[in-house]
Amino acid sequence: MSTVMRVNFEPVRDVLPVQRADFPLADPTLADPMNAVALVDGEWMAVTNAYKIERGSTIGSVGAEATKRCYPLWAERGRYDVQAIANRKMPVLWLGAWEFDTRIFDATATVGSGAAITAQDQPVKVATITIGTRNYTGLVGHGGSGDTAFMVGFVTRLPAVNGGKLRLRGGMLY
Amino acid sequence: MNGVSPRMLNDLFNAKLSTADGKEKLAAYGGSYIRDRLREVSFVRKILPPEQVTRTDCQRSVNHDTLVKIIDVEPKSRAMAITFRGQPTARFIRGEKAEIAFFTISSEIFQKTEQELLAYEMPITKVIEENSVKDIQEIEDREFVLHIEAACQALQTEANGGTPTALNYAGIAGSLVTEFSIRKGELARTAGNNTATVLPIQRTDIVNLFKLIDGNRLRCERLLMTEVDYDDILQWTVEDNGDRIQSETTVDGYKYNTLLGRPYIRTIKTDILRPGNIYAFTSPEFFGRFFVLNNTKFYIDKIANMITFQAWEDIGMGVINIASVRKLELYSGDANPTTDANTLLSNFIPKAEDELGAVNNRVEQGLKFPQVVSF
Repeated sequence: MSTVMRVNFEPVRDVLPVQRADFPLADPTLADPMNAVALVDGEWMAVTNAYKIERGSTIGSVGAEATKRCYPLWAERGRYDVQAIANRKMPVLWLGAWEFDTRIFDATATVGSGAAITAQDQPVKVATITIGTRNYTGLVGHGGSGDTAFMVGFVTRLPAVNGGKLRLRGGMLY
Repeated sequence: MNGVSPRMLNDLFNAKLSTADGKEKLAAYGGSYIRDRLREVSFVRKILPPEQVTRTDCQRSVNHDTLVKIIDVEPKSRAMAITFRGQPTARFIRGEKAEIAFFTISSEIFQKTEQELLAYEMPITKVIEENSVKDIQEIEDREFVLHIEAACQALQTEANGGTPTALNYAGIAGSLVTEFSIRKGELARTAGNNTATVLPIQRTDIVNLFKLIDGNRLRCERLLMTEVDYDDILQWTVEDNGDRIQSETTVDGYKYNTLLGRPYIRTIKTDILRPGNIYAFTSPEFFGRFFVLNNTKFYIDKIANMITFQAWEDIGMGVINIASVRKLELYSGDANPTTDANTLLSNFIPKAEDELGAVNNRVEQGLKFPQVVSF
């Protein structure tokens, strides 16, 4: 079981080549750090038809899979710069390959045709997970060829040998 | 730079970018120019004069790496009449405090190859400056308009029992809504239907707008309106203006800096402040703050043959006392973003960021006259 901290999604490679794009939140109240389901860094966002971002999976339903392409949120909970902008924009990793450590994952969950996260190079997908007492849109293991969910990255370092964080590379799949 | 042809400026720009020293000089040149123009053209800076702050004026967070500046708000106090033997009530002093958070406004990242630059006669340095200034100042103003609108709507909701209530012709005719921080114009009140048509401003409208602020132990000190709405002021009759002003206005236009005794600001940015919306403000000390953490910075670089440039600034702005801004609506439809009772909201709110700066000319579509075809 992962533990959510102040910083939950950190780069371990140069981020300069990665294009970070700001999108307005479809639900601006999620930028409020006191919101019970406030967004945290490392959650996965989908882009709406209005070119805003929303959680890629239904937050109230644990095990709900993302049905759209998702992008990782790179802004810690309650950041002032997010709250300062009238439309409440938040940045996602939009284009380019990256390698990050994340705490927003559930290695043991098996969602749909997925599998627990047990191996290096295993693909991961996005689903609603529970960490501690609340839900997040995070990562679970992808089931490989039998799983039709979007892959969003590959495990490069397992939590057991990475201080409890899941290291993955992504950005090349979407 | 006077007397230098635009083409020569482009060449100079290109040449300078090839040396480290040149890059610094160009950056310095661009930077100083931008700061000056930005102060000149942004309407929010005329309403909330920007204050330069430094890192040491700001507060950090233990949860993330962003900054706020905390502003103290005047504490409550009062006096009372008492007898010789009586005692006044006590107040344990506590002043509210509010945070103003900082964020960045950036231009786009402009890119062009050295070779394609040769195809332009216009001075590219000038284009860089103008584009950057324009983009940044528009977003400053757009953010400001969104904040003041939110402030007006918050008070309006409070005055209607905490329920967002449609403010339109029908609501006023049926006494279904209280006009507290937002008021419809006289012509909108009697329009007979709920539309997005902007009706001409009447003298009474402005007086009533003043009263929305003046009645709360504050004083309206400034108006913000579009050029379009200002034009309707030129239609005021001799009954509104009197002989002398009417004569002057007919010949020279309205040439005073005040309207009914209060300064006003006009803007041509009708895609940000939409026609039909007029805001009234107190002086800044009762209203809010605008902080500049980093003045406009200008980055310019050339890697191989690709020239890249970008400008940005770091600012914070906030409406702290929401009672210090009020709004006049000159249309009969509902502009409350929560109710949007007439589904006309898109006519009244600032356009999206990516819709700003719409091009007026139609050259790209081939619409220029006479049509000349080169081959």
